[in-house]
Amino acid sequence: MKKRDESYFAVVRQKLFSHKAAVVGMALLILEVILVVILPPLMKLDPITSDYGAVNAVPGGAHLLGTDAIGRDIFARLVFGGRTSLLVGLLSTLISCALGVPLGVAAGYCRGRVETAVMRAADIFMSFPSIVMILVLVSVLGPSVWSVTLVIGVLGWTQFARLIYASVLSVMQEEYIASARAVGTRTLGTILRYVLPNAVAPILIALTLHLAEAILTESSLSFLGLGVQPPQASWGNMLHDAQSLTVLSRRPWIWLPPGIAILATVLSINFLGDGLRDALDPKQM
Amino acid sequence: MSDRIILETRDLTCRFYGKKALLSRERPFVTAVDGVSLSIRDGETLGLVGESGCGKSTLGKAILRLIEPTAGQVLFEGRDMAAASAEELRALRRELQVVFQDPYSSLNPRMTAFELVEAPLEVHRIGTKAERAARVAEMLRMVGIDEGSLHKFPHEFSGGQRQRIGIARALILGPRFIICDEAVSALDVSVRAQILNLLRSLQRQMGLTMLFISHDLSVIRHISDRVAVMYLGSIVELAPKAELYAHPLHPYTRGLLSAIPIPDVHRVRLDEIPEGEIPDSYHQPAGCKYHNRCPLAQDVCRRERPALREACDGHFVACHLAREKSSE
Repeated sequence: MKKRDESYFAVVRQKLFSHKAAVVGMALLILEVILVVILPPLMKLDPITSDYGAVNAVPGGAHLLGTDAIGRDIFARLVFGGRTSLLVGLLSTLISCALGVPLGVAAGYCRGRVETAVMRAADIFMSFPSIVMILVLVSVLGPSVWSVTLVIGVLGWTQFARLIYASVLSVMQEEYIASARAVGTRTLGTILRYVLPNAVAPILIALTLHLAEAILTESSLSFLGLGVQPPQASWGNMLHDAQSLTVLSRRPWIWLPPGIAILATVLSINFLGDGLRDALDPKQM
Repeated sequence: MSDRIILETRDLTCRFYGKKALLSRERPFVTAVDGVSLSIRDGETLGLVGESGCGKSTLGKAILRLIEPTAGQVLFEGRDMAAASAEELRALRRELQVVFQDPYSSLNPRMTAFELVEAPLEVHRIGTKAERAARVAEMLRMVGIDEGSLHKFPHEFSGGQRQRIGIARALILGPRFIICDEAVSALDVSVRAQILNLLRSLQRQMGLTMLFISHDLSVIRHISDRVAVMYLGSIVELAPKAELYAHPLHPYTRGLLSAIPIPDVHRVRLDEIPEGEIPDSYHQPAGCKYHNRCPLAQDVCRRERPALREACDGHFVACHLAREKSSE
C-alpha cells in the first residue's frame, strides 16, 4: 500500500502542485474553509442581531464591512453565509456522488436490464429543466438549508452516474477484469479492487465541477428567496437584498462581498478541477 | 503423460447474438464455437491453432466460463464446469487457470507485482499474510522476477516481465490445468522463446496440463504434444504433433502448413495456400465450412458437413475426402 502512494499518487500530486492555477485555487479554498470555521468563535461574530443604531452603515468602524438595511453586520453574515454555502455545496455533492456512482457502476458492470433502467432514468432526469424542477421540489418541501441540499444532491446523481458508467464500460473491456474473474474474485472484490480504481479519475474532476455548480444553484435559489431562509445567512440570500435598485446603485458594500465570495469560490474550485484533470490525464503521465 | 482424460468438452457451443434489425423476426448470430468435442490428457500440451477469428480464444474462455457457453459440457475430472454454480466454479478455478494474451492489458495497472500474484491467494483465503508473502516471493522467483521488483507496478516492467507476472498469477494457486491464450503472441521473438521455455520447465516441475492457443504454427510445434486445428468454430483436424506436421490430412491444415515460410529459395509450395477469405461469420456456408476455399471440393462437400472421425490411430480429421488422400 505504501508503495502505491509513492508511485501513482505521487505523480498525480506532483503534477497537481506544478499547476499554478490549481495551487492558487486550492490555497484559496483551504483558506476559506479555515476562515469560516474559526472566525465565528474567534471574533464572536453575530450575523443575526440588528444594530439599530447603525442601519445601512458604510464599511469601517464597528462594522468592518458595514451593515445591511436592518443593521446586521455584513462581515459576520459573509462568514456565516460562507459556512452555509460551502456546507450545502459539499453535502449535496456528496449526496449526488453517493447516489450516482453505485448506480453508474451497477449499470456498467451488470449491463442488460440494470443498464437500461439506470441510464434511461438518467436520461429522463436530465431532460427536465433542472432549475424548474428544483424550484418546484423546494417549494413542496419548504425552503431550508436541508431541503435545498437534499434536492440539489438528489437531482445531481445523473452526472456522476453517466461519467462512471462510461468509465466502467471502457475498463470492463480490459483483460485484467477477465483475469480477476479467472482467479475467482467475487463480484464485489472485482468492482472494488479492479474496476473502481481504474474508473474513478473522471469522478474526481466531476466532484469539483459539481461543487461549483451546487454553490451556484444554492445562491440562485436563495437569491430568488427559495433557498436558505433569513435570518440565517447564505451568500445567495445576501444578494437577495440587492434586488432593489437603491441598494444596487448606492450601497455596493451590501452585495459586493457575497458576490465576490461566490465568484472567488467557484473560480477556485474550477481551477482546482482543471488542475486535477491535467494531473489525472494518463496521456501526460 | 498418462492416457487419463483430465478435461473434456462435449459439443461446446458459443453463440453471440447481434441486434435484431428493424422489422426482422430473428436475431442474427455468430457461432464462434460450433459443437467442439475435445479431450485433453493429464500432463499433455494440446496446441490449438487456427486463423484469427476462428473461435480458438472463445473456446478457451468458454472452457473457463469467462464467456458463458450457449450449449454443451465442459468436464474437468468428471465435474461439469458449464453447469457449476458460482461457488462450485470458484472452487474449480483453483484447478484451472489462464495466461492471457496481452500482458499490457491483463495486469491491473493499480496493483504491484506482489499484489497481483497475492490476490488469488487472498480471494481463496489461503494461508496467513506471512505465508502468502513467502509463497508469492517464491513464485515470482520461479518465473524470474527478482526480489527487488516485487513492489513495482506493471508499467515499470517490460512486456516479457509482465508476462512472467501473468504466469506467476496463474500458477500461484497450484492449478493442474492452464490455458495459454496466445500467451506469447504479443512478445518479441527473442522474449517469446524465453517465455515458452519457462512455460515448459514450469509444466514439468508442476505437472501441468496445458491448452496452448496460438495462431503461430512454429510456436505450436515447439510446445505441443498434440495439435488441434480449428476453422470457423470447429475442430477440423487433431493429431499428435509429429503426425500432424508430417502427414496433414485436412486440406486446410495442408494449406496452413504450406504457409510456414521456409528459408529455401528452391522450395515453392504456394499451390496449397487457401485462397479467399474466411466467410462472413453471420452466413456460414452449408456443408463443409471449408468447401468454398478448398481446392478439392466436390458435391458432397457442399451438401454434408463432415464429422470429426479417426482416420488412423489417434489422428482425427473432419473431411469427406481425407480417407482417399491418406490411402494414396
